[in-house]
Amino acid sequence: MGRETLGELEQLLMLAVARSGEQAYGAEIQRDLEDSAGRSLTISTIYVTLVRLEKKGLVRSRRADPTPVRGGKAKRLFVLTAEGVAALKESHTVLERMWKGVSTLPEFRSP
Amino acid sequence: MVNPPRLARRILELLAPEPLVADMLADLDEGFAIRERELGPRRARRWYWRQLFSLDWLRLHRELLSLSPAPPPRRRGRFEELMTSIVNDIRYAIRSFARTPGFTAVVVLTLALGIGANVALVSVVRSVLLRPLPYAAPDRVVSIWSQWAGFPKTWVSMGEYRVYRDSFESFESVGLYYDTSANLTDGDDPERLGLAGVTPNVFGTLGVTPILGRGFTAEEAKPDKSEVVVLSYRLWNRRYGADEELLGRRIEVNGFPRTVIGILPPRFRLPIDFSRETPIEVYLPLDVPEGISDLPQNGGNHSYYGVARLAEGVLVEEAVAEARAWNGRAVTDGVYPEEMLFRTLVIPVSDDIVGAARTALWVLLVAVGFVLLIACVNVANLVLSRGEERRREIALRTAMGANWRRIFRQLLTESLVLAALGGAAALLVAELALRALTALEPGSIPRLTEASLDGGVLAFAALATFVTAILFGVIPAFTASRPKFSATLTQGGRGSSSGLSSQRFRGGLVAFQLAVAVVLVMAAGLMIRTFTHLLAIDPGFNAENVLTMRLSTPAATYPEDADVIAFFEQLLEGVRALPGVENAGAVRVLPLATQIGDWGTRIEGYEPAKNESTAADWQVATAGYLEVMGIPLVEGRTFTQADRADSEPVVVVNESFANRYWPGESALGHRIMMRGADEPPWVRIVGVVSDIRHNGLTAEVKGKWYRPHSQFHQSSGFAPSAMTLTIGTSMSVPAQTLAGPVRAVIHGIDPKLPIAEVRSLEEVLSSSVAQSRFTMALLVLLSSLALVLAAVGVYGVISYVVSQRTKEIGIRLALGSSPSGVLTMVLRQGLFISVTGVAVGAVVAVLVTDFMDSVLYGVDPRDPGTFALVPMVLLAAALLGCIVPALRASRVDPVIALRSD
Repeated sequence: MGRETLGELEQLLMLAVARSGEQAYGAEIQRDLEDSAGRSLTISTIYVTLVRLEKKGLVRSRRADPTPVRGGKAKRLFVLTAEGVAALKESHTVLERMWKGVSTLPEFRSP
Repeated sequence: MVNPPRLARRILELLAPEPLVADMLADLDEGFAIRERELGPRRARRWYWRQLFSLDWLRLHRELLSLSPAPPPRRRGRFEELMTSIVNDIRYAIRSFARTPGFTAVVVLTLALGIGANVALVSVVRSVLLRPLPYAAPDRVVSIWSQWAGFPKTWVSMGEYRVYRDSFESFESVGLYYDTSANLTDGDDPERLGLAGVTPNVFGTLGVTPILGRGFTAEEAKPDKSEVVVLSYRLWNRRYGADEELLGRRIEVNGFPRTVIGILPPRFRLPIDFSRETPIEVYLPLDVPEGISDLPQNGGNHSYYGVARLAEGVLVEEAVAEARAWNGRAVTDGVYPEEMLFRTLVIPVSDDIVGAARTALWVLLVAVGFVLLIACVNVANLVLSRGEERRREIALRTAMGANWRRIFRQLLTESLVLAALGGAAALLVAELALRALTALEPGSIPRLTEASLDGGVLAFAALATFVTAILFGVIPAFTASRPKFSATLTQGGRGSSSGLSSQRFRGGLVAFQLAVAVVLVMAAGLMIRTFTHLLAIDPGFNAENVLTMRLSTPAATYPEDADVIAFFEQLLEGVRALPGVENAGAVRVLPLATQIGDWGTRIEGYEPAKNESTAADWQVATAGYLEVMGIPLVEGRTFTQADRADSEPVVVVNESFANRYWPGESALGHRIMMRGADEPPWVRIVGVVSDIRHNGLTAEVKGKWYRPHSQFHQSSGFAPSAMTLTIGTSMSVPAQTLAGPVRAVIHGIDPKLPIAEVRSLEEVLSSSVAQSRFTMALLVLLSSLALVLAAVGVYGVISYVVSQRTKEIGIRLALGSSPSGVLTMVLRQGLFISVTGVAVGAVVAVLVTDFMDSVLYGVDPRDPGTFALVPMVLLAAALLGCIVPALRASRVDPVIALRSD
């Protein structure tokens, strides 16, 4: 595999970026993670992870033009790089492969 | 749409790294807007604040720093070089703090509490004590009061006013005013609010001009001409929607139509208005008729406030001297009897307004400064410990050629960065503390609600942060930047010699900290004793299950005394019939709520000594009042419904009165007379009741009489129209639940009558000790903080000592020392430091607690109990701080200790 594996938070963030196509930005990612993953993260956590991912070359960011929706404020948009897409797919495949070996899970009942 | 919390947004601006700040703020704004829409503003604000609290801010800075590519080498100027190196220092500092989040968090929190408390209190002091009053050249404005035996500070009479106005050269102008309450009865919404009657020159004396219209002319003050009114800015805004057309229109004050001629500026308040519960919103002209004299030989109606403007260049002392000279002449001229000790008080208006709160605030400000000092020492100790850990790093850098100045700067930069983080967090603490203060303070400190974190206070916060950084940073930086590096390197970083001097130094710091804590805890202890003494005072009446509210019948609807009397009788009858009401009465001035003054009184058969005053506090009450208040009857009877205008005039007196004129015998059956203009009747004493505290729990109790409301006009020519209802409820009914039904009874009789100051008697009682309670609560809070910080300081130092001596302790244990011997050894060292600190603190406390004398009651500033107990408490706390590391020392395993490097 050769490549560094992705952490859980990194995966979640990259998935959030992937889900929103070309339009992923901080506020939206934060909200998506809260709604769909049940993870309420502060904006600083999100940016630290994004900056790390950018350093690893897995995401790319650029300043988008101001839109009237945000009251004329610019936003920083994030997209996955080719490497990022590959890394995400890779970790998905690994998980899928691992799940294949699991036919039944032992059942636990809470007392 | 609601905006994100401003303070949080400003802090975020500081926290976010430069290249991302705009994007992140925009993201957060958007997130806030969505949450505000979906979850409401409260939860959205909470969410926004939560964004601040994350160590990822530090990580984000670190990530970005290591992201930026190395700049291409080029020639730089000296200044640029210095700036770059400072920026590098800051980066290095942030990086190293991110590596030790625990240390950083503790330091930042300690600093935030210390600086934040100071910032909050400074903004209070600024608002209450330092911000200029809303008058022109306020330092030339003085209040004028009278003083005589038994009355340390009381009102001025019209006769005295004329003397001050016409003959005093120190004064440029002198004004006179009184305050009361009034009903605003125009429109459908009757309102009860504060009213002042002012001589036409009061506004000029204070140096204020109406923002709209004009003030009063002398002509308008004449009684038959006074159909005009000036309004406060607040009332004009609130009730009349800031309508400029209001000028010239008529409004109804106490049932009489009056023409609005002026609106005062927004911040304007009369001096007395700073301590009133209901602000003054309506101003009427006050006439001082020429001719009649009411200097004391004629009875002297002292019921006005005096205010004056000093003539250009005249000092307050000169005005006081002129007043003294006149007081002397007045005695020689026989105007005032010498024994009366009459004096004119001339007090700078700012002193007069802030008064008692001033000392309390300074005490608190000093206390909060002490807490910051202790916090600094703790942080210094933490930074020192860190410095010890970094000795080898620093020694290495020195060995590699860094000069000590460079390292010193680096270490100082770290302190500054820490302080800046603490300072930013302190703004949050200050904002919260200020909100809590204004919410908890019951209105006994004037202008407190105006306190806010404005530019000046922010500048102070910045300065405090900087000074704090120097305080806790310089010494550690200095000791750490010049280690004897060769020694450190060869000793494996654990030299016992360098450790020893550092141990002594830090022991000294902790002793200092304990000393400061002793002084603070002493102050808190004295305040607690004061407060318990205050609470132990029996007011003389029973405050439980009594509801009170204030009413005033307007002269327009109730022109005759008989109308007023009939109204209150009808009202009380209705109230007594309500379920849950046991009894009800009404009184002219409620104890501990409104000050009571005295009335010239003659006692039949008593020949006062020359110049002896027989005046007594005058109270007017209906049947039922004494019963509701539970004021014990000593002998005779109280008032009944049978005491009517046409029945025999009667009076009830208090014990002080009875004992003064009829010592050792019964006062019943004797007759007294309330002096008045016409021929007042002699009234017979039918009852004696116990003394109660009226003008404050600690004020002197004077002779007092109670006349029935139904009869008082026979003596005075008027039936009091402003009365406080007192309603006694049965045990099972909370007093406040009756407010609604009573209101219904009142409005059943007169739908236009406003009701004010609805509260239980317990609230009245509790607000009379409010300022002491407030000072005590804050001092206890601050001293607890000091105590905890000091104990933590002791713990830190002893832990450090133990860690430095682990090897030595290991050897001792290996050589046969018992664990308990080691325990005693460590404890002894800790106790030596603690006892020294506590002893020094106690000595300092003896010297400084005098400062608090004026806020104490019933306790000596050097109260032996407090001075004995507090050092014990501090020593116990210090011992607690020693015990954990001492136990750790006694459990040192010699094998491990000796093997460690």
